[in-house]
Amino acid sequence: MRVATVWGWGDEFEDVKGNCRKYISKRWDESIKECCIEVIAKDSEGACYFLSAYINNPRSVGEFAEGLFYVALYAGYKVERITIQLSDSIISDEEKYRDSIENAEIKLEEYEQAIRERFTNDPRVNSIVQERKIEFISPTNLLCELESEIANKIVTEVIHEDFSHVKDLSVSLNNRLIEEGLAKRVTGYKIWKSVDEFEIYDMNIRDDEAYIWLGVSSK
Amino acid sequence: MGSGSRVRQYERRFFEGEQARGEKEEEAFHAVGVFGEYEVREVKGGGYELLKNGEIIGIFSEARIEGSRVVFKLSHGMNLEISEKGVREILTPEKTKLCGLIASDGTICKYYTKPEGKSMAHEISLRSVSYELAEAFDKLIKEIYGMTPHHYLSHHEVKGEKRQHYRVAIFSKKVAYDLWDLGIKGPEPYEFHVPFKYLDEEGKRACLRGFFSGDGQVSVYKGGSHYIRISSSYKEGLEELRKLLLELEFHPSEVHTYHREVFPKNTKVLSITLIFLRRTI
Repeated sequence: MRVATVWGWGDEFEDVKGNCRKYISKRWDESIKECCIEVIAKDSEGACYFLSAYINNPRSVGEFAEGLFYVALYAGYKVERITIQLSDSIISDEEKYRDSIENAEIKLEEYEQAIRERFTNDPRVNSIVQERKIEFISPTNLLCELESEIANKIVTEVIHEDFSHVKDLSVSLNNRLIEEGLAKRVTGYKIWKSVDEFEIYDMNIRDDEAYIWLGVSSK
Repeated sequence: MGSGSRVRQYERRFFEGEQARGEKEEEAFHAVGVFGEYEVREVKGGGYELLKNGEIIGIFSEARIEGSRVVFKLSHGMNLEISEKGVREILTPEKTKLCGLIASDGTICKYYTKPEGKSMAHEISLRSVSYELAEAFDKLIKEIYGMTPHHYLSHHEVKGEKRQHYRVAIFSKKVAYDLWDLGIKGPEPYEFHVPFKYLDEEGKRACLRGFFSGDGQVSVYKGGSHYIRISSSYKEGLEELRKLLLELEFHPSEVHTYHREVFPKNTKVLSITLIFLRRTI
């Protein structure tokens, strides 16, 4: 599968459509069955989000990418880059999210229980527990699948430590995609946390409570 | 000292156009400070002289005298710092802030203006959905380089509502190379660097202010803690910012990353790397 960055922050906003079209015209050949356009962006509270659209019609790519770009841009403040991934098979079938948001939140509780079980007996946590209430803070990924008339499907993914912000941003993105005619409706959600890779990277200790920040090391 | 232009720069910076070599009449002066082999003295009648091993190497009309150093103003956002550690050029706080802003959200690039490739333009620009950020960039460029940037306003309609975004740009080979020489951007896309060797304490803070203006994020989390985050896809740049925060005696976390679950299954993607600093108010 080939992945290329077709637009990056610093390029003209108006170049999104043209850059995508140029890339597709050069690289889309008979072997290509589907492409994935991905827009990567962030908001002022530190949430990262990804808008991915799976398309099998090369002529739709440019305009659709531009639509995704502006939805992403105005939901936050900066689009980092846009990538296109070409595939010789239908890759969108690999991603299916059918949970309701309520079920996804139940799953979130299960993840958080797993985190408590894993880290409560960590020596660094034990050393500060005493009479304190311990809370673990870690990033949550909320994925949402949307149906589309033009794309085979759209997937949004929002990542942040504050789940209420994740949920609000996801709903906002999904609504904008529907309002803009890029998506028809939400199909379902999925919650995910990379629990097995989490490490403690910071601790905020107060008199009666402590916040343990978990994340994935970049080393 | 190399090429003719370099000599002219040296003369412009160190002598402010005056001829300092050759015979000089004895002038009344008083010593401001001695810093190793360098000495600074104030000349009666105005001005300051910089001496190295007893010989005058620079004349300046103004100086900022602090306990352990003397700072002379040069041009285009540069100062000359004399201290026990020696002599070095440092960035003014305004220029450092501009560097931070460009490192986070700005662009320095060159491109051919015509298809035949015969004419090249050098652009220094900032794009933003924030009018305040565009204005800040505009003001810094004017202050440092004395140039008035071009402003471009574009809009996009979202459900009948016009959303605007801004591009503020200057086109100058001289400014582009001045900023490139500081090493704040490139060579690869998304690369940014902190110009450590040009920063004093004030400059370090200004650099952070500039970078935060572009790429900083603030959140309030449980318990009322405010935390400040910087995110980027360029890990080395984040490590440099972390080092800057440590030098200013903040306590940033380690650089860490968000992971994604994308297909093929079990594939991890290093997408965004973060550092954050927390402070409870």
